[in-house]
Amino acid sequence: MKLRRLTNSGLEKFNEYLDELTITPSSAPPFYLLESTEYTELAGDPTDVVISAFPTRLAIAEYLDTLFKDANLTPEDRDVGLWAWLALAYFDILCPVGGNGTRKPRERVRYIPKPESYLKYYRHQLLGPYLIYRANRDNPQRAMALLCKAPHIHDDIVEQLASRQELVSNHAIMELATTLYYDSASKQIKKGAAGKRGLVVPRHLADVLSQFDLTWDLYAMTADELLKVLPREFRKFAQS
Amino acid sequence: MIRRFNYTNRIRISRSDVQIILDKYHGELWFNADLSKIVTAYELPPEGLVFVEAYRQTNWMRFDYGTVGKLTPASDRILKQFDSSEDIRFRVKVTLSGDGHRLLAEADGIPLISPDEQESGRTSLLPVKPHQLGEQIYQVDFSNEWPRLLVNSEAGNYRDICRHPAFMALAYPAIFREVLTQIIVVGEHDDDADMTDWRSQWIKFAKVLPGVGDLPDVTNEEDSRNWINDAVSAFAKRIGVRGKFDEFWR
Repeated sequence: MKLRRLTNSGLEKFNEYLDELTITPSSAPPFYLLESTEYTELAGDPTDVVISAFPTRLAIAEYLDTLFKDANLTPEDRDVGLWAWLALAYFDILCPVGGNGTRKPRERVRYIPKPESYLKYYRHQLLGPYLIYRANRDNPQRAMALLCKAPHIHDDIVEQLASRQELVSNHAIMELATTLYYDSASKQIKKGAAGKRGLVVPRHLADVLSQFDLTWDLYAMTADELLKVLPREFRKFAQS
Repeated sequence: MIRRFNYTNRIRISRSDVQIILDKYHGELWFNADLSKIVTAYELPPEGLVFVEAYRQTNWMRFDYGTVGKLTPASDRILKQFDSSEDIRFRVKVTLSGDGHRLLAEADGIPLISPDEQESGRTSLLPVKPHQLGEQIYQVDFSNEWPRLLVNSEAGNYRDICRHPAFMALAYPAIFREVLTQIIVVGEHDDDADMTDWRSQWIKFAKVLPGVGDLPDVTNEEDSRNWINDAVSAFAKRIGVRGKFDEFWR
């Protein structure tokens, strides 16, 4: 299957399916759209897309980066048709079938992006990780706290940090989040790190950093410098 | 989210004191920044380091502008990380080196001005963008830092739609009401002095319309809605809604 993008009528069909899925969770995805010349158009040079299970958000972002290079395509953040086509192509990964044969669709922006909304663009399950990967292409490992989960999982680390432009675009803060929340030995998020309540949760970290942003030039600081000025409980958690 | 306090008396630079103008250089996006007012209008130390940052979503670029005492724009000001100029915002920061990167002054959310806007000397209170809206013709979008009017890109040329007397007569007053309702009734915002805040700019714009006057207590919804009614009525008169309606209702 070649890389394509949904046209406006293709987007309408995908939207209709997502409407239907909320009523009938066993509905089969409209995969026929993917290669339809009526509902899609080629994106970039004709390039084969591999549909396989990617274990992490990093793995799928890396694959997409290679795919776009092969297709000689500079993917625009605002190319809704392209990102929606990809979400449909990977729908079994992004909205997997559960044990009872049904799917649990999340909010629409997980599959059809809203790139013009700074409150929601990062929630798309492919565009979100891809943008984080692209911003950290020189060293994706620094953003592992936001890239280590499976592509269909959107935890509170992603929600709290990716939703704030001044945090997600800052390399030192990405490195700090990874130091705090990611266990590089197990390649998993540390226990208790993605919760919503507590002294070291991402929500609290984001609030503290947003306050620091009024006092210091955070883009000029290193992850170590940031860690030193964080409340003590964060420093303890970083060593756990 | 917790409230943010300005413990260190960081100076808030007014957006209106900074101009970032879009330019093209060999087909690439490029900008020029006029920061001269920062030097004259604010008490900042000459050794303060000046930076201009461009950002949108996960994209961010920083440009060195020298010091307050000697502004020296970075020679390369190509916005290479951005695929279009749409919705790029800028920050200007003044920091003190050697003091833990302390922030002395900042202006945030500065829009990029096109050469046309610069020529007219005005920026829009409600930028208009074409957008896929299905069956809707327009939508006021509050999901960004600054509200925008989205116009259905499939309904026709969005600029022509906005200039059409039918749209102006029927949609403009409704849009004006929607924005004021969002600011005053939903947000209970009552400040019209902070010209770096879009909400204050809108209130100021409404207040100076003939017969509108000062805002009531915004916690009283009925009084707020009455004030908005007066403002919409004055706005409709200002843009000649009846005449525009008559132009197409024949």
